Amino acid sequence: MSKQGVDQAQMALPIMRITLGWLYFSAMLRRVVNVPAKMNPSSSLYVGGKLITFIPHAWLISGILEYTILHPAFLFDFLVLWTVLEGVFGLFMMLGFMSRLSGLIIALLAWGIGLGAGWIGTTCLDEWQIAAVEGAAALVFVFAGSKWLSFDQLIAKKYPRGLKIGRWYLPLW
Amino acid sequence: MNKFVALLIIGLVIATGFTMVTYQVFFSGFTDLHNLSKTPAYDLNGTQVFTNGTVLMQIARVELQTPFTLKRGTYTVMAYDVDDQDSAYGINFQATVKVIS
Repeated sequence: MSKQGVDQAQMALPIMRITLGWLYFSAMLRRVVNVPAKMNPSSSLYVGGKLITFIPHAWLISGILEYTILHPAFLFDFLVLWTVLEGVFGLFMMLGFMSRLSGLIIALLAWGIGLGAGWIGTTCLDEWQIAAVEGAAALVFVFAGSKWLSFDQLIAKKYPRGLKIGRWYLPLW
Repeated sequence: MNKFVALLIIGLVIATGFTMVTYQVFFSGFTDLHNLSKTPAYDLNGTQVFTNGTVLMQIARVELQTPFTLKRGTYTVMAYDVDDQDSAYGINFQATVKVIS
């Protein structure tokens, strides 16, 4: 592919990047701003209750799901951590900040949910489709980074090789 | 092959692997397509009715991959009717129960 082709491909990526980031950032917004009851263990809207619906056919992580449900305090902490990761890295993805790292975290979140809820989908193969496409899309940014309409574009001008730790460079953007 | 391309191929295998493997695991998409969420199956064996009107309903989803054993403790059991209501006339369809062995 020509140099121009690579650059043009990079210019198309924000279309996917901003939508992908919003899917995760808005998940945090719904739980924290729009409907705070979703994070209230005493509420019938508590998202922790969803996990029990994952169990019947979850793959590989049934034990983890059962543990979280049997340990409500841990479940709450787990949901807080999950929500923070979604909010922070969803925002980073939209902004194109540390896109490679954000892509990795979002891919893990997508596939993690997929293992639990992938079998659920009352109108289609909904959750599986979401997990598969979001995981694949996020992984694209691990390799492609974000070189247009992004903070990474600005940071890379000054630090083109990534974050330097000792002798090594960590390609976070 | 440089390191980037090698990692890229690993990523390709992981992403497409997740997609294809879970398609088969969750839906048997390459063999006998089904949707356990859209058409769930339940086993009611073990349900009992007592002369005082008590119904002891034993419900289990069919094809559970791992048996789920309730730990000792107190739980709230709720019931929803076919119209998805969990209360009527001020009566909640729920009870607090303790697990017994």
